[in-house]
Formats: sequence, C-alpha cells, structure tokens
Amino acid sequence: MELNEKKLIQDILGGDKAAFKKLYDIHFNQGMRTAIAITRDREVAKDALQETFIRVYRNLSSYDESQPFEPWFYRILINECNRLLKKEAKIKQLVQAQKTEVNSSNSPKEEYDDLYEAIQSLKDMYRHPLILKYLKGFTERDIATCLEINVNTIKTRLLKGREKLRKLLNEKRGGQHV
Amino acid sequence: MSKNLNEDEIKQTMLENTEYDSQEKEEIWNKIESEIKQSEQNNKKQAVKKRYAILITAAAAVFLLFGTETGTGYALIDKVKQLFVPEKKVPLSIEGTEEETDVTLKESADYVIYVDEEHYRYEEKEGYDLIVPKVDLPERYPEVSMEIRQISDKKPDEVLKDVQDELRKSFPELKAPEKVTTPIKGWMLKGIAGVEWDSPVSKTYIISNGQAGSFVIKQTYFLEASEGHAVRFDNMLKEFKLIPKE
Repeated sequence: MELNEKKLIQDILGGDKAAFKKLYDIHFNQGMRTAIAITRDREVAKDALQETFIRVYRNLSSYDESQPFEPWFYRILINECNRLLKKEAKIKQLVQAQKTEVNSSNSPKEEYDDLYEAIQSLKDMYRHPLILKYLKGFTERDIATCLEINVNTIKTRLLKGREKLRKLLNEKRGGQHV
Repeated sequence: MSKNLNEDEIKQTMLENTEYDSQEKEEIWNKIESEIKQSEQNNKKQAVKKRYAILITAAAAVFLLFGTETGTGYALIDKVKQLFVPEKKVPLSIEGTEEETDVTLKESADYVIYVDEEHYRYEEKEGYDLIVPKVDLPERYPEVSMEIRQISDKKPDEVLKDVQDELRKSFPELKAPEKVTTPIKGWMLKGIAGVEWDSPVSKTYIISNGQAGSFVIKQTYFLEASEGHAVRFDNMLKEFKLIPKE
C-alpha cells in the first residue's frame, strides 16, 4: 500500500472525517464505474457504492494494513453489488407479479455497443474478472485476492472470458474476422 | 484481432459505457455522511448501556488473575464464571443493517461463549461443541454450523498443518493461512468451493488454549450466507473467552 494511503487510513481510524472524504474522492470514480459495470444498473450501483463506503468506514479497524487496500475495498464493493442485485431481483419479481399490463417502452433501455453487450452477456465468473482487469486495472493477483479465488483460476477465467468474447463478437458481427 | 488492440478495445468500451453524472458524486457523499452521523449518534446511546457490561468483564479478568495465581481452586473459577452476565445484547451489522442481538452465556470447562439463541442452538457433543441454526435448514441448503474443538496437546502452529491438509481435500482452492486479530486472535483458514450461491465455505480459526494446546473453531456455511450466518458466527466468537486452568 502507498504511504499516503496508509497515512490516510490511520487518520480515518483516528477519527479524521476529512481523511475519509479524501479516500472517497480517490476511489469514487473507479468504484462507481466498476459498480455500474457489475450491476448493469446505475441506481443499484449508486446504492452499492454508498453502502460500500459506509462499510469501509465502520469496518476499517478490521482491515489488515499489511495488505493492499484496493482488493479489500473491491471485495466489499462486489459483495454489496451482488447483495443489492439479489434484493432488486426479488422486488422486481414481486412488482412483475402484481402488474397486469406492462409497457416495455416505459422503461428506457440503454444502448450499448456490441463489445460491451458481449461482455455483459458473459457469466459472472468471466465477467467480474474482466471488469476488474480492464476497467479497474487490477493485476491477476489483485483480482484473485479481491474475488478470493486462486490466481491460476483467475488467469484461466480471463483467458476463457476473452475467447468467449471473440466468439460472441464474431457472431454479432456476422462472422467477419474481429 | 491483435491482442493489444483487443485489450484496448475492451478497456475503451468499458470506460465509455460506465460514464456517470458528476453530480452523483456529491449526492452519494451526502447520503454516506448522513448515514454515518446517524449511526454514531445511536452508538453513543449504546455505549452508555455497554459501560456496565465492561465493568463486569474487567472485574472478571481481575478475579481470573487472582484465582490462577493463588490457586484457590475450582470454586473460585466457578465464581468467575458467575461474573459473566447470563444474558446481554450485542450490536451486530447484518447485510448493512445494524441490529442488537440477545446473546446467552454458555460455559464449558475451558471457555465461555455468548450464543445468539434467537437464531442458533448450542449442543455439547462427544469431544466438541456445536452451534447450529435453531431451526433446521431445508434440505436444499448446505450445512451451516460452528464447531468448537479443543486439542489439548498441540499448539496452534502444529495444528495448522493438519487442519490445512484436511481442508484441502474439500477445498482445493484453500487460501494461505492468515494471522488475524478479529473476531479472535489466531490463525484463520478459508476455503470456498465454487462461485454459486450454495457453494460451500469453510472458515476455521486456530487459537491457543492458553496452555500447550489449541482450540479449532470451524465455521461451515455457504456463499450466500457470507453476510448472514458468517457474520453472526464471528460475532459470537468475539465473546469467546478462555477459562484459565489452576
């Protein structure tokens, strides 16, 4: 962990609220983007990021400072994303069951390019490592720590994830070489 | 496609499709600040209630020290056990929600623990103790339990290897042992077998028994219960205290 970040964490533990705001400013951008990519839903992403920072603040004393901060932070973020997605799915099920008429045009659908759609169509076991690698910029070891999975498994999943992407794009782009 | 171009393309599309409104940063921060402020005010109220419990625990610690130094016998240790309040409330954060849990004192010959009896039952087995959900889980759920076993003739570092070897049979991706200080001070081994909601998880703590032996505390649950049962088990472990021998 960088010295500045270590100092920041010690300051937060000492009750310095401004230091916590600094930590928020440092990690907001990539945290928000990662949450959007993981949840595929901006509102859920906002809630997940909010809950993550609250958890970080409350549980910072249990964080092991000899370990890098970011994999710990992103482990909490991904857990929060998953937890809120499950909650959301249950609510959607209930709402859907109560609705008699649903006009699909009422819910705006975002337009994505082929590649992003292909990424988002992958199973989470491939999608999450790809997001952490290409959006967050984590090393394979960081991803392994974050997802609590063996680093060799992560390497395999990244490789397979890219292979699957290539196939999906080939199909989407009408078989032309990509 | 060239490898580099492909990787840049992946990165680029992710950045382009995860743009957000810059106002959202301020909006989320305000919510975080307000939530933290609110919970700190609640904590202050709880702190007053906890002060009484801390006084009793401190008195118990003094009593334990006195008892072991003078060797006044089991009667004194029994008196010490009596100093732990039979029931109390402990704060707990489950899936982001703060709650207070009622816990009840359980005593073995060598330790005391406060058990959340609203959700679990404590069973004394042959050679070990077991904490399991009060209501048996439906069959589709994997096992959920916390086993407390004492190994009186091996220190934690010696036990670690045995436990590692045993766990690797079911958890090939067992993580390297970690030294932890919370919820309890000792070694921690964690293994997850899969990425599905019901993938089994094992978290084992190995701690000193205060003599020449160890306690092996094995939590068994499933991935989806990581924020539920796992948190409750750890919370109970925070209240695990050894009873020193004469």
